[in-house]
Amino acid sequence: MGKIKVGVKLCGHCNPLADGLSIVSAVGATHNGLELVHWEDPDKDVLLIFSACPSNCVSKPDFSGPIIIVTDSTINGAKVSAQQMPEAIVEMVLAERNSDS
Amino acid sequence: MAMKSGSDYKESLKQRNINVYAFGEKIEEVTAHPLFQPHVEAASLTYELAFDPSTEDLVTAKSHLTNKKINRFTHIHQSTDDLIKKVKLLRLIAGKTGSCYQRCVGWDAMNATYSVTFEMDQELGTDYHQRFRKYLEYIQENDLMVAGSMTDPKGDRSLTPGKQKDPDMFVHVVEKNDKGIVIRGAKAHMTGIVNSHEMLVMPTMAMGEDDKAYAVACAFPVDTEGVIHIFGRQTNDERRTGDGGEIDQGNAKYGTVGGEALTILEDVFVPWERVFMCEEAQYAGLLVERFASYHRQNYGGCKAGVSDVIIGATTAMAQSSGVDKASHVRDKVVEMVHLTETLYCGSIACSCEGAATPSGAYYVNPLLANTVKQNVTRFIYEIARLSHDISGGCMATLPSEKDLNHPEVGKYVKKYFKGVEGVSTEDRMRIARLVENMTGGTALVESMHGAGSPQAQRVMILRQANLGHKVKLAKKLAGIKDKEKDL
Ligand SMILES: Cc1cc2nc3c(=O)[nH]c(=O)nc-3n(C[C@H](O)[C@H](O)[C@H](O)COP(=O)(O)OP(=O)(O)OC[C@H]3O[C@@H](n4cnc5c(N)ncnc54)[C@H](O)[C@@H]3O)c2cc1C
Repeated sequence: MGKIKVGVKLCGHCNPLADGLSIVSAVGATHNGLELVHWEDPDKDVLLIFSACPSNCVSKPDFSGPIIIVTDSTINGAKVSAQQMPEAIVEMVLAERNSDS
Repeated sequence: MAMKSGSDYKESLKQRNINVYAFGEKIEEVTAHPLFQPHVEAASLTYELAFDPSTEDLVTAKSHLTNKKINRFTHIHQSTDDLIKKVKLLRLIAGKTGSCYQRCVGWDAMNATYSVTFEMDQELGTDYHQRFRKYLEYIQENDLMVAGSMTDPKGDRSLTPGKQKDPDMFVHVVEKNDKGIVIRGAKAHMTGIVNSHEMLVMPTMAMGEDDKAYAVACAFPVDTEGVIHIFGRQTNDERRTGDGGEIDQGNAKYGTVGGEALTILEDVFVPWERVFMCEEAQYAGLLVERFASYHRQNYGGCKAGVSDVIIGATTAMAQSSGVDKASHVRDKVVEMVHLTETLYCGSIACSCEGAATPSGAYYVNPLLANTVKQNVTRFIYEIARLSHDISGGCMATLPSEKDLNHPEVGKYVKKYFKGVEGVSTEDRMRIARLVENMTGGTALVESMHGAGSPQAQRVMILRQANLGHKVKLAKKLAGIKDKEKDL
């Protein structure tokens, strides 16, 4: 099976409580079965939307596949600590991908 | 054409044949001159961040004209969400530059002209809006930087344009022919104009029929024949042009404020397709009001970002002096944060309370937008005052970078300007110079007069205040039944 293409959309980080770029690159480093791509990539399997604060104002593009919404302290609304964030995102991507296929 | 990167932008500036003077000299190339480079760098960030995945959500938008992805600084707001994103975008970039990146003025001018020309066409049967849409598409397609050009020199402020001894004190139409118009006059305090591509001229105030020649809105390249720019001086600008190094500049990369110029329009020809108001005096006031309100909205965004840096610098100064834990210092830092977030609240609020204009473009709540800017004329001074208090007098008396590195006296500078262990004197000087750069002179005046002097906001606040309703509320509670004398 090929790598899972994760389309990544980050918020604009105007007054950030977390650094989306470093969290997302930690996600890539945690699991080599994931390929991080730009959110506009038409071949993405999963869309990961990251907001650096709870206001979660990032624009949400239309996508018919699985969407995971991450903020500085939550994944799909559930609390996650900063240390666990990359691994928890990977788990969620794998779970969403499996439930989708 | 696609969105420009920072380097595309700088390259595109070199293609212009612009007429700029500074320090009594004609400037050959703005992008290569130390006086202008910080302003070019700051504006360049508005382009560069459109390609950064951690900022593109704010810095880009989808054009309502072409559906293409464009730089948000060329976008016409289509929702309150767009208005909110504008404020966040301004805070974001100001936090990175610590100074003005200039591109909001033209953006506001475009949004104001877009909605007002629509209403003019509806009432007058003109085709200004169609012309403007074509112009906007050109701006979006080429990702151009537009200088918002409203302020006239104004001469004797007690006189209307037509009553001035010198008719050129306000930009006016001197000729109309089948190809276009010829305008004359000048625009003052033009932010970023020497590193822009285009200028969008608007009238400076409401006009009566007698002054209809002064009711003119139009756009043209900043290097059009007859356009001359005389660059304004800023506090400590010679620290940039000398050989004194970067520390004394405070913010060597991005400078101070936006880089303003007096722009002379000496019989400038503008073709009809770039004319968006010509003698419709009754619409001058509406255009001024729209532009001013959009522009006043900005100040709780960009000044919040600038204040974020000032608060950070002030805290670092307190740490370097060993006073950061003192209760009065902490309380003053809290006050700086409180003032900053109050400004930000106002800008977010006037955006949330925005509404669609007949053109479909969204407009801020003008009462709240004017309130934000009124607060800026006070709070930024208070933030600067608190920063000066905490930072100490060295900010005003520090020796130069050359003295710091001098073979004989350098050791004394290092020894006697040292604060706590663990912070070098050089770093302490760097932070002190940053505070100096951001809290004095030119930087403060921008908060007072940029987007209009305080009284201009008070006039609009009174007009929008809905006093009649307030009097009704009071009379009802007081048991007064007199309905005749409602305001
Ligand atoms: C850093 C900076 C950047 C700027 N950038 C831009 C820009 O990019 N584009 C642009 O168009 N403008 C720009 N401006 C101009 C700004 O909008 C004006 O400075 C502002 O409108 C005030 O005009 P003025 O400077 O001529 O002040 P003045 O008009 O001289 O005001 C001085 C005082 O006189 C009062 N006053 C003025 N006229 C009257 C009157 N008729 N009756 C009673 N009182 C009066 C004012 O309220 C004020 O208290 C910028 C200004 C600054 C300082």
